[in-house]
Amino acid sequence: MSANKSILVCRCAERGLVDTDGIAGGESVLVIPDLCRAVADGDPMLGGAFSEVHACHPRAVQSLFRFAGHPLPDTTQVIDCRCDGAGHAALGTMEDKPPAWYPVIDYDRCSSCGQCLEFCLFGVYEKAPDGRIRVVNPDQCKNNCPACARICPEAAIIFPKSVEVPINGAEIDDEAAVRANIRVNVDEILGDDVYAALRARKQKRKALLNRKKIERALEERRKCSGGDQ
Amino acid sequence: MKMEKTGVHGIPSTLQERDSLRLRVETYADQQGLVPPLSMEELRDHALELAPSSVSVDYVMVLLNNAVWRETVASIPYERRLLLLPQCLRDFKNCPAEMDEFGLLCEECGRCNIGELQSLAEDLGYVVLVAEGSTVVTRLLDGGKVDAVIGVSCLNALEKSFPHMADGAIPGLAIPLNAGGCIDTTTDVEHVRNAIRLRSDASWVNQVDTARIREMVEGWFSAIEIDSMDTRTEQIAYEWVCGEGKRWRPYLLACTYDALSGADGIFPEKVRRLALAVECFHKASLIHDDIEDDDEVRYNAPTLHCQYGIPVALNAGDFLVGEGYRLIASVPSRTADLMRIAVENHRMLCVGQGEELRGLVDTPPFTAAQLIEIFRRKTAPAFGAALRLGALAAGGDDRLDAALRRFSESLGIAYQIHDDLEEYRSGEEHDLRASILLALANDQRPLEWYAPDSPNLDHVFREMMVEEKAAQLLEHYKNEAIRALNPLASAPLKSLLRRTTSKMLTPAGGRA
Repeated sequence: MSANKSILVCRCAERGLVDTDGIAGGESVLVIPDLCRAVADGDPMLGGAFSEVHACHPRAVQSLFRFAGHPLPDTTQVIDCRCDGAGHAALGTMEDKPPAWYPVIDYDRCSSCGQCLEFCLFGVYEKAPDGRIRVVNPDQCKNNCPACARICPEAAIIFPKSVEVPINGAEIDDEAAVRANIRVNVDEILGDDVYAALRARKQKRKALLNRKKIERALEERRKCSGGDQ
Repeated sequence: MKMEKTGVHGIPSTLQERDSLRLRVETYADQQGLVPPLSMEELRDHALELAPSSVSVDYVMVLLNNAVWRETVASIPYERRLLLLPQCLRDFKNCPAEMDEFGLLCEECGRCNIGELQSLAEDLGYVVLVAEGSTVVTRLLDGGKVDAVIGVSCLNALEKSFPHMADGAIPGLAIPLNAGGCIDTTTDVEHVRNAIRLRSDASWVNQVDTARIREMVEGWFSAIEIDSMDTRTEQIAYEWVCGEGKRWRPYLLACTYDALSGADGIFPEKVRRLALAVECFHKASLIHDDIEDDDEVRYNAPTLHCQYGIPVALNAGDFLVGEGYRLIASVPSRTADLMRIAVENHRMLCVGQGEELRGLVDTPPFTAAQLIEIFRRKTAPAFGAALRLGALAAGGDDRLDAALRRFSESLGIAYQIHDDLEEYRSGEEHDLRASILLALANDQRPLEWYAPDSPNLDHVFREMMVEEKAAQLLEHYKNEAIRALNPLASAPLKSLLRRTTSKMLTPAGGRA
């Protein structure tokens, strides 16, 4: 590609998660409706040498391009325009296509442990001969389900269209906090007495529920007394 | 965004059709006299017979599995049951609940059916889990920690959890989701309610209280009064018998008797004697093994010949063989049949051991066929004697005896392959001359020589995919063992041996 300045802009048409409304298309600016959709469709346009990409969190964008088979060079600047719906309204899914909801892998974090592969019921992942985990059937992924990302011990799975941090590809600032949040080894928590473990969990649930009820009641009371004044 | 609710391919679309298919499956299970647990293979074979062309075989397998377990589940107290609900049943947009490491912490807000089903079950005494994915569920099902499961799930998830249910012979009822898609799914709620409430007056069917039996068996050995024995020779031999050991054989013998007799942990004197006898035979063979292999340590302690010298150890082994036969001969009923089984096993063990010893001095290395024949002779009798003696003591017939013999042979071979594989994978193997891995390599490219520390061996094994082939062979014999259980008419015994098979063949390092 010969253009010395080439900018790609994603509008996040499906969900309106980015704010790029101010950028107009032009000779050196390519505005696409939805980067996730383009990647899923294998749009050859993605192979263009872009100097800037205005879209999501950089980790998500880089992983998307890599998944598309066109990893971004270091020289490409990724501008984080993520606003999680504060910009324009979502336009909904495009034409007759299913929503472009699927995982991409952050290979800087992935340890190839294969838990996602074992976890997913729908064959989204596969282990390649080189031992790496790959997303092979993105269209089999179930819309809005980021469950595999939640169990990933390395927080390496990104769903760009998730609103959960860091599953949405947001930068991981506090590594310790993220790791603490990852589902711990289920075997250990369950221990030898599954019944005791699950009964203890029931008590925890009831306590949580009571607390929420009290909070709600207090909230109501505040509202009512506010109205009286 | 509007979610599309589509019917799941292969599940009858109306409640009426589903009910009539379920009835047909239940009648079939009854007429065929099917005994749980059914292996995946048995389930599939029967389901293929039964499934109308428009209905998925998987769905019929689920119905059939429910039919064979229904009575058992009904007999199990509510407090020992687990209800598994899928979080996808919730109202995805408006659900206020939080998630923890197991799944959803349902608030019973009434927007979906989860809360209602959860509280119905919990009020009866169930433990309930609204799971996020199958990982938690399969962990729960593995390891024999759950007595009974009632689960609502899509066919995809059931497909993942069913092999675990089968491996653990876990009594369970599964209610498939009618609409898939992981969001806002539906199920036949009334069926779930009925399954939750299901309860009969029968006392717990198919239960073998293994923990209690283990304790009892241990008691038989600790009660032996070694000090009051007349001679030092007897004392040395019995100290060896009553010392360290897993008591695996006496335990299996007692469990087999218990499963068949329904005596519920009450054992007549003859069972105790037979249990001691199999342990005597086993411990005798260990003494002789250690001498033959020149091993110095067993159970983290010096071997008997290292403690007392080879002549005394040899003699103690011989004494224990005699003790075994004395104990069997002291059982008054069916004595000749019991002796025949013990003798057959004794002979076979010696022939197997002898062939292996001969192979270790002669080159070239074994072929896989030769080695499996050795496994058949050497390892199979170890389990076989315990199972067959226990069954005979409980009044088992020839048909059962033949099935148990087939089962022990396949399980013994599988166990030995499993052992070789584990040793190879852990990198602890030092001498592969009697390992199936070397034999499989030898089959592909006859090895003229073998030296325990050949540096290229790992490379050669990888190139020939020896590990994969051994794993396949293990799977084959495991399936043969499970297949041998098909004709068993006793559900408790079938369950017990199915669980034993999985337990013995679980990879040690498995998963974290």
